[in-house]
Amino acid sequence: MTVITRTIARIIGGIMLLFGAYLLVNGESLPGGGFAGGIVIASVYILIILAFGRDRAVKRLNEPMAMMVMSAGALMVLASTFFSGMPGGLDAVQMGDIGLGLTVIAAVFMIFIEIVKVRIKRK
Amino acid sequence: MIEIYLLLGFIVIGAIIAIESRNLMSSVVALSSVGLALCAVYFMMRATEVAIVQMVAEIFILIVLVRVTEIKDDLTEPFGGLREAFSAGIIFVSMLAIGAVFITAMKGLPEFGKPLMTAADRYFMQTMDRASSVNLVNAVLLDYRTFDVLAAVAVLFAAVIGVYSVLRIKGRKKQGERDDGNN
Repeated sequence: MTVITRTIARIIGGIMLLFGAYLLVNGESLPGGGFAGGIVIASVYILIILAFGRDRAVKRLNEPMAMMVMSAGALMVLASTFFSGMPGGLDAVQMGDIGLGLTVIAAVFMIFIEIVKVRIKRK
Repeated sequence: MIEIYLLLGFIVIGAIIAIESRNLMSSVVALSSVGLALCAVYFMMRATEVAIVQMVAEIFILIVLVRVTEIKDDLTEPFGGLREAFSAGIIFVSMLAIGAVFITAMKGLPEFGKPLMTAADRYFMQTMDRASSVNLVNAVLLDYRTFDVLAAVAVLFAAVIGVYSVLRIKGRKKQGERDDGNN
């Protein structure tokens, strides 16, 4: 991709990360929450792949880490059905919300990585 | 109210174009326009939470579909003859019959919004005291109905496992190899 696209992708990626985190954390007072914030944060990686090419982006992956993040998110959602909150002061709703966001980020990331890694042979 | 019906007509036309088009790229674009019109319908019905999720998921699905349909197949087969005309006629008649059955079944349903559900009333009244968030949609999702969110997380896991098992690179068998424990 051209230099213009790569520069803009760097700047916009940072702003998108901030906006996605804003949507995730403010799930209890604004529309948003786990699903929307998680997909917006995972879209930053899609932007990086589209702007910088697949070879540079696939080089430093860490798939076991993504699987661990997804499992941690699912465990947080499971814990929020039984317990009433973490000792740090979060309620059950906030804990389930952040766990849901982690799960969505890791799932979307892993699906897109698998689709990118396949090189389709043309006949 | 008339705008919702116009958008619904647009959705039906877009879906027909997505199915009947011969070019893969135009099918993907028509499918995404259906998703965009559905997002507008959600906004008009004052459901902002669902509209945000629909818009963001639609963007992701569009990118995935455009990447996947990079496969270039030859879709232009010759179409014609008596056999295709006969099968097309049978499909048309059966669609008319199914449409007639649906229309007579839908006349017996209650009107849109007439018997109001009372579970939502209880959620409205009790959210400010008992649940711990001001956002009613998130309170219903994560406080009253957390088990459904757990089922949705299970669906996400199943989607990831499905994508991984279809698009594997390392585990692919050569033609003629058997799939027992020795390989």
